[in-house]
Amino acid sequence: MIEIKNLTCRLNGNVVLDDISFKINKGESVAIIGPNGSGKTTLLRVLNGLLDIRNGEYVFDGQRIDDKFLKDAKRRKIFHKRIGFVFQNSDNQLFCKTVFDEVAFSLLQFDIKYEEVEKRVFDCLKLLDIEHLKERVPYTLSGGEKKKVAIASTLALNPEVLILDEPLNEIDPKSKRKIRELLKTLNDYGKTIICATHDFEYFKGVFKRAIVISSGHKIIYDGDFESLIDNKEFLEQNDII
Amino acid sequence: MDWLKEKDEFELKIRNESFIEKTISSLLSLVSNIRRLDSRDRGIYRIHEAFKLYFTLVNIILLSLSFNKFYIMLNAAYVILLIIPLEDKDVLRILNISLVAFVVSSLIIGPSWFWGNKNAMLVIVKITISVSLTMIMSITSNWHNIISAFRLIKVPNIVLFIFDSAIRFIYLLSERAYAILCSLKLRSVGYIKKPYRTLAQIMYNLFVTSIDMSFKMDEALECRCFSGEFKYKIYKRIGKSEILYSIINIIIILGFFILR
Ligand SMILES: Nc1ncnc2c1ncn2[C@@H]1O[C@H](COP(=O)(O)OP(=O)(O)OP(=O)(O)O)[C@@H](O)[C@H]1O
Ligand SMILES: [Mg+2]
Repeated sequence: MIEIKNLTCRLNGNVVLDDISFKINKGESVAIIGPNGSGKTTLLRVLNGLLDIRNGEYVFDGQRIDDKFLKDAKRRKIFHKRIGFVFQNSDNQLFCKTVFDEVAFSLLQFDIKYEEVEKRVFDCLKLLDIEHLKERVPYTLSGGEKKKVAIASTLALNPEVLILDEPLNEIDPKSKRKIRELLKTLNDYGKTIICATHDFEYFKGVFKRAIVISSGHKIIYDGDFESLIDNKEFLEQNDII
Repeated sequence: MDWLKEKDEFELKIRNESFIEKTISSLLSLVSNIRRLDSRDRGIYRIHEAFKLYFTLVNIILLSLSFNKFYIMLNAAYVILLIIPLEDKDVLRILNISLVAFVVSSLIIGPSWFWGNKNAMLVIVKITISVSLTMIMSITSNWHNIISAFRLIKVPNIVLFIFDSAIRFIYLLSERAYAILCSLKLRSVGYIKKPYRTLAQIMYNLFVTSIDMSFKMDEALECRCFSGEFKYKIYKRIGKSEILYSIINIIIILGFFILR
């Protein structure tokens, strides 16, 4: 479903991703692991079509994602509906007046009946246990609450591919367990899940595959998740634990 | 790294802390004001902002037109009625500002009373009442909802969206500035060599942050299928308190025409 070929990415002259290639099939659950500054966030932004690709190629569901494709507003909207992104810093993602509006925002961009919107919003709020926050102003919430709102608002659109950038930051242990279960359920429903995380010990049983990016911005491991976290020696050698 | 194991014995240079203290406290009050964005669910606080905005506007206009003592007294009674159930902190703030309005207008208009302007007293009272009404409206309302109340007079949604984003930016940036100042205070132990230079650096940090924030927000809008068209919805329903509020206001408005 997702294919990256020989992608090299430069930001302000620094190489941030160095000649990476991989392929992710529909229904897979993949963890992206790497030390701080290795380029995880950058990779996820590429997958969401937020960065110009100069060197390399990105193919989503048989369609090359490039400048030309992204120029057409309608196609772009459909692309973003199919792929949901939870930002690392939720402050950037929340801009509505109330939590309810926030979750409803993307739904209101489509022609959906209002009853349906309301139903979906309440379901999403329930899934993340934040119904009591629905009248609050999103950016005055606590860090963990913001994160949950961000996840709920991404989920509302029912994307086929869900991309999360460190979703467990600032989340308390009980909610961590809840989000872990949620990701597992979503994966069972057939959604593709891609998640950059440092809490990979926590995610045992959720992800089947792991991609490790080194501090040299290259992919150094792409394979089974369980056998990666059992391989302490490899993880230690590459500054991950 | 032996120094890490031992206790430090430095002399502290203490100068007056006022610079950071002042900046922090003023920022703090800004942030706490905006925290009021969260609506409270009681009495006048929960009345629909559109009602408050438009009735307050009408009341102030009629008040400025009228020179009838009884009508003005009716309005004064109304202000007192509104103030009584408010939270103590808010009552203080409203009284503070009203008092300032009273003193300033007395100083400006008062002298003309001695020259035989019979209406001078009424004008002063009218100004004080208008200021109180405005303050009550703004203190008991959620800023965002006041903005969306403007929608009823056909202000385009995109303009409202820009206003809303501006409030959000002010909030996030002031929160950040507050965090920087606090950490500065803790790390410098109250002593800063070049306060204004430090302030400039903080301003620079905020500037860069705000640019970065606006780029990121653009990306977030994009990812969530924003198509350039902003749809606003008012979810608040109209209930008993709105009806009661309207009845009281209509009585006062009728008072203007009856007492003329
Ligand atoms: N706009 C930019 N301009 C220049 N350099 C950038 C820019 N954005 C990111 N970088 C650099 O790219 C590198 C990778 O950043 P990225 O945010 O992808 O790291 P990350 O793997 O997500 O790290 P973390 O675990 O801390 O989230 C960093 O060295 C960063 O300094
Ligand atoms: Mg990151």
